[in-house]
Amino acid sequence: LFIMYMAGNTISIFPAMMVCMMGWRPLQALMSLSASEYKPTLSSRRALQGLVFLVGNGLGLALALYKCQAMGLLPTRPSDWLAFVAPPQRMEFTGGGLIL
Amino acid sequence: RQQYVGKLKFASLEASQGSKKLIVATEKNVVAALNSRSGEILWRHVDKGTPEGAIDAMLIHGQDAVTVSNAGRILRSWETNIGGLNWETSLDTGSFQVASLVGLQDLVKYVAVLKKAAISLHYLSNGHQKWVEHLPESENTQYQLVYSHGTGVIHVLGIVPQSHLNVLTFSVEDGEITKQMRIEAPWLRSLPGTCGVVGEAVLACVDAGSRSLYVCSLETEQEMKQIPLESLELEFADDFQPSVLATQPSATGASRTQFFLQLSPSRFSLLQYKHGLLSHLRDFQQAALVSFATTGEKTVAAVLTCRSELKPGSSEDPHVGSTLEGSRKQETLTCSNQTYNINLYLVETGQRLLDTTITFTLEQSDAKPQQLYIQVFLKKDDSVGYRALVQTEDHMLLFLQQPGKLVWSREESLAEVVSLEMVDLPLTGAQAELEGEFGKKADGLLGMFLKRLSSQLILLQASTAHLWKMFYDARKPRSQIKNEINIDNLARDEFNLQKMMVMVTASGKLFGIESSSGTILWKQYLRNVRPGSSFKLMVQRTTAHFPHPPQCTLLVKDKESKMSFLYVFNPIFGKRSQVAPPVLKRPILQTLLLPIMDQDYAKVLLLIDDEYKVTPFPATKNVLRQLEEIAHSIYFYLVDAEQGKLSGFRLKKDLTTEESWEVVIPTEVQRIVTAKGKRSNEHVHSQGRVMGDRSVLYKSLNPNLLAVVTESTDTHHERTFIGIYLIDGVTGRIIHSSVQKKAKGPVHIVHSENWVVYQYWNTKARRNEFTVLELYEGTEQYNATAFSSLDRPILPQVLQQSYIFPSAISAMEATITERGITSRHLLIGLPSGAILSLPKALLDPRRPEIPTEQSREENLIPYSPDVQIHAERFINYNQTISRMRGIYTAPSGLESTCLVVAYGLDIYQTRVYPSKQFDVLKDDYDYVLISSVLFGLVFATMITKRLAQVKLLNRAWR
Repeated sequence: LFIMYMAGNTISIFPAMMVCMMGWRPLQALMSLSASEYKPTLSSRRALQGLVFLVGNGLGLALALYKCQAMGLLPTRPSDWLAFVAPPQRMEFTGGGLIL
Repeated sequence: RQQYVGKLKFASLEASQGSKKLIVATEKNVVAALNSRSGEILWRHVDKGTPEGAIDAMLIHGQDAVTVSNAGRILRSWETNIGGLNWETSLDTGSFQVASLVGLQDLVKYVAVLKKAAISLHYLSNGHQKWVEHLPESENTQYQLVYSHGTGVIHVLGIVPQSHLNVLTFSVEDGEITKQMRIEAPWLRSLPGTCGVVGEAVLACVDAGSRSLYVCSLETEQEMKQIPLESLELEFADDFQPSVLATQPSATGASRTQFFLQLSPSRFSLLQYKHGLLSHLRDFQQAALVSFATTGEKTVAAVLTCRSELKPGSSEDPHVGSTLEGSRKQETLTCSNQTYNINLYLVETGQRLLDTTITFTLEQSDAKPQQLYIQVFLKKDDSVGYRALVQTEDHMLLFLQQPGKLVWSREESLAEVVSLEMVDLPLTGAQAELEGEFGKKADGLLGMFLKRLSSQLILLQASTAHLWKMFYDARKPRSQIKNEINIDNLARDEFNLQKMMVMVTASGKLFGIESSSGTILWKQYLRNVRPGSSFKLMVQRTTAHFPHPPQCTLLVKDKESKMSFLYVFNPIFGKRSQVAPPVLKRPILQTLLLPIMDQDYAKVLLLIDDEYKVTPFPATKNVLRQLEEIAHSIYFYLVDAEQGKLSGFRLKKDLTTEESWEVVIPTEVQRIVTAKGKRSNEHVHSQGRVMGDRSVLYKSLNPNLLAVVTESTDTHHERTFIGIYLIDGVTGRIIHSSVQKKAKGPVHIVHSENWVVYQYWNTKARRNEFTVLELYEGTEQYNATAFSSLDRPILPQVLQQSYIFPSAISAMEATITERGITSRHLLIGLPSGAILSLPKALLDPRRPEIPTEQSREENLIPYSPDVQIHAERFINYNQTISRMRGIYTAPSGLESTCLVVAYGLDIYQTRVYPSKQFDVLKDDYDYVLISSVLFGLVFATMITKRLAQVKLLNRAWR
């Protein structure tokens, strides 16, 4: 986390890799959880452990997303979608000019 | 680049067989020498385009060409071999009348310039003034002729209209008036044309009223002798001012005693006046043009006649003469089969010289010859040979050699292009076949399949043929391969970089020019176009709709009669279209090209006439129905510069209009100079600009916006101003108006996307300035899906900034590309003939004075008031364009590329890449390296795969 803070909000290859890792690890963990969950018999303790694991990983993911947001990697602003805005359709046609 | 000189005013051909030069002075204020073998320009001097540069006279003597320009202010002498200026002197003011060479005892040493009130004599060698004399009674006497023939005196002829002639005789040595005469001539109105000097200072004048010729010796006689022309059995045409055409072979000798008398527009007769006797040598009927030429001792007369079907080559056909009576009103005779003859006649006797006939046929265009210049030389066997320079009505120069061979021709009307459009070239036959397949309606599964198979087969055939041709060409040496472009193999290239330029010239001639090579592929002369007409060229159907031919429409409006007509043609082949344009009964004020199409994919053209009624073209039922549907959304705006009125009209369902708004700009204070809308084919890719804090500043892209420029009528440098109005064309709402004080035109303006750039002269700081206006809606878009001018509650924000530009400009245009992704550049034509490509980012009103974090994030350049001209931004290098009048830009098939045509006296075409060639691989792209690496890697993977398999196998065995 500290490293994440130190990495700052500039976009360069190392922070980007770190953020990727940060986002990817909780995801991986969650995937493995869902895979390993159904194999052993369910006990309430185990369920709690699982829940804590889930929340922790979720927090990690949220942190990664926040980091992305801080770095400006998430397309949340209208400016990010500007290239896809269709030009407005014109309703009137005009023409003319100086009298010939 | 192609260079032109313009319509000829004066021309001179050297009278020797080996000469290669042809000195011309044109109406475009150009003095130039043409190579008479190839028609190329040897040298060219371009004077100012205003009347200040107008060439009034040109005289040739030996290696010197003397020109008088700027209404007799400036006398210049040019060296004709290399085009250097020998000397230049400025003359006193006074309206220029005539100039002539003055010789003294077999030497031409002086040039005499006659003004309204004075005559001056200059040395030919250095231009110094020898003497200047005032002319007596210059208030009511119009001095119009100067004559000398090497006897040491100069005769100056002045006329008091309908009263008498004043003949002054000056001594060449000191300018003293040696004699003054007064000759009664109450019938005479003006001297040039009606009078000519023949023989040894004998004035011959013709009078239509009394049908007689008056002669009078300038040296001895006091009275004019009347010779009735009936005695020679010559008849005058009615309402025609007859004229006398005489020749003086050299300034030291006397004029020839023979002269032409023009009796009617197409009838000339060669007369002789010798020893007080007038005799008739020969009569030329049905002659279009006559000209004299001299070589050595021989003087010949050249007569251009129309070749008639009855008796080819004869000019004495009385039968044709009678048919001409009907067509007398036309200036010269019309020639039915466009074939002309030039014949030479010996002046002394009027005999026709044998073997001197040139027969030439003008192309299908109906232009008539206008001017004829003859270059005569003596051949080795002492017979006369000659070449002829003919200028036709459509400003085409033809240079003809003796057996009727055309040596070269020049299209000088291209020196004055008024309107220009670029049209895509058609697809090749195979491509068109494929397109046509998709265009047709489906007829069953099997039929479609078969059709597809057949078209693919044709494609295969074409590609093999192409490959074979490439292979064949590759074996030939490179010099032999000439990529000739003609109308048959005209096809669109891969990226649509070659286009057809359709040019309309002021003379009424249309040209189709292939853009990459500049070859003229077709030309068409509209003969009923009078000079000074206004043109508007529109592309109604592009080449995209294959089975239908492309269609262009030209609206021609006569300035005087106000009547207009439409000319519909195919822009690729130049043929007149089959479609009949509507007959226009009322003068057309403006046009509007709608994006709706009829069933033949032709865009609908609306013409609004002076009763504000609308005529659609084409006017099929389908179109009328569509029009009725969308009539409520069609608006016109008309800008009347004379009355200072802008008015908007709304189309009603019955194709009449009603006025919806009007803006009056008082003409006492300011006058409207230009009104500019946006280009209809412009695409804007980005709807806004991203700010430093990642919010969006939306552009105000009003397609109906109109930029109107006014100039103050008061031209005092303290009070002069220009005004800019941004007006919505639908509602008439003034979105922005600003007045630039102490500014003067001419204003050049570019209006595109959401910005307007205009340039003017700042009279206070005495410099050229740019001002840029940009319109933004703000960070919120009012209605993102549809734009309606009627529903715009908030006015856009206007940002503006000004810059200093170090040069005046002659033309300005913005680049345009297919999708509008590429950044825009301004193309600025400088008076030096260069075209500067200036990034629009340099003219950005958001350039901050103090750069901040955010502005740096936006890549804004900090504001600096001066825009510099970097020579590396010239897109035409040293191919300068003289007297540039306009720049035309057109998108190409590549997004990065924009085609540019600059026109003026010259025509120049190039491509520009405003954001570099981002969609094209670079020239130095290493295909070999990349592909070898790729293949190597594929190979390596295959080998390693094999090795890995072997290793796995081995391990499994263990």
